[in-house]
Amino acid sequence: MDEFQFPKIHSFPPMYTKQPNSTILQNQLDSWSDLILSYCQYYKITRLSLTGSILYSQHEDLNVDKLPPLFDNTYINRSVNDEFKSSIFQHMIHKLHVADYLNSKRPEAGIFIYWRSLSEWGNIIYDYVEKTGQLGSVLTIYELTKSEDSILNDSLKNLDYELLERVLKKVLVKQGKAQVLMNEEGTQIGGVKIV
Amino acid sequence: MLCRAGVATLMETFYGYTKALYMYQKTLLTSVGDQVLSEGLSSILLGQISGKSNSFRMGQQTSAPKLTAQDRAIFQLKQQRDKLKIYQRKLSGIMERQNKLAMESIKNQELERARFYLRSKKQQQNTINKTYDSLENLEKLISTIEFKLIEKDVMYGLQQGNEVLKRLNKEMSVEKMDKLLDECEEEKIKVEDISDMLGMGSGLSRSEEDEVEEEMLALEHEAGITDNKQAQPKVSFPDAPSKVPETDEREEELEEEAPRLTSNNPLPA
Repeated sequence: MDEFQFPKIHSFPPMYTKQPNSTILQNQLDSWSDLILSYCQYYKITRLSLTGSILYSQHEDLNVDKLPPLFDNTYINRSVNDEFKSSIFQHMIHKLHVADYLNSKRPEAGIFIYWRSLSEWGNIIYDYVEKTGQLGSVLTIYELTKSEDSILNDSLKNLDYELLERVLKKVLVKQGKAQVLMNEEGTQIGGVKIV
Repeated sequence: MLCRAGVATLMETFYGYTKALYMYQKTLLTSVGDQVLSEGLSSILLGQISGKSNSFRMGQQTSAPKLTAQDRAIFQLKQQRDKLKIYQRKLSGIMERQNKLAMESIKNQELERARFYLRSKKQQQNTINKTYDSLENLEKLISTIEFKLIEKDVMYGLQQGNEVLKRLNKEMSVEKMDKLLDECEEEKIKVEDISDMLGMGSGLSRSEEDEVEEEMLALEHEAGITDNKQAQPKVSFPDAPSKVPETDEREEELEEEAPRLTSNNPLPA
């Protein structure tokens, strides 16, 4: 897989320091948000820690340590400090709504990056189930995202469980389209019935 | 002419009737359809596919689709199947590693060790093969249950269809149809009577009708149809002496066969 090509702004030194002027700061935060979204979409990253390390990528054979770092630029010898990272994430969560805490009570658990909105994910799942004629039958989560012999939709392949759970609960169940079943241990969603 | 006008009027009345009938059927169908729909909906809400239920739950906020006992059973089976698949995946991972280790051992001249790894790898392979049987059984069971559920749905659908058909047949009884047709007939007679009495079916007075008749004759004359009409009786005259049929027919036959005869034999005369 080719490396993500950072836009020129990633090599622009002032990007790495929090700008005092509020208008410029807003622009800076927007630029960072765009950059993070396209980076995560490129590598199919759905979860980041608060320090920007990758918590989950849909690419199974992605070597996370070898990816070009998001918040560091060795060529210009700059990196974003944790405080500014937090401001960027706050901006993404509260202003742009393109990210959200995994657990709002425990923000340190990390954040989801919504390069695809929850309802878009919901539509993808629903379309897949409808197209494969599986509306109304119970599907296991494994079947939906991991199984090698079901005709998998590329978008769903190896989908982050945490994200899937959120999509199911916040979108499909709310719309009255889905009902979830817990696994045997009762700890996670084990299956779903979509109608 | 009267008749034509009568038919037109009749058609109009009849059209009115069919339209009324159509509207009637439509309301009937929609009401029946609604009932079926609501029945289906409530059965889904109650989580039961078969069995009648008159409870009406429309208007209430639809919550998530209900899970039936069958759903849970299928879910259990599918979970077992997934577990088997994960187990297989784990074993293949182990096999891969053992293969690598065996290779390394051979390179290091540790033959016994290599043999051990290979033997253990073989064991894993056997286990994987065994799990395929279980997997197949599970898959079969799942698909059987799913198919049975579909069959059950089909049966329920047939039942519903049957009921609707029965209801429709009841509404469209023969007596009602008879009555309807009778009424139609009565109307038709009434229309005929009236137009007879007035003598102006097409809205023309009698003298006008006469004029039309004259005009038509004139046109017919112009078109030469009258000549043909006169010619036809003339043609019918020769038909009368056809009481001497045999000779005529023979002559015709001879005429048809004449060319052949001439070629084969000399003329008999």
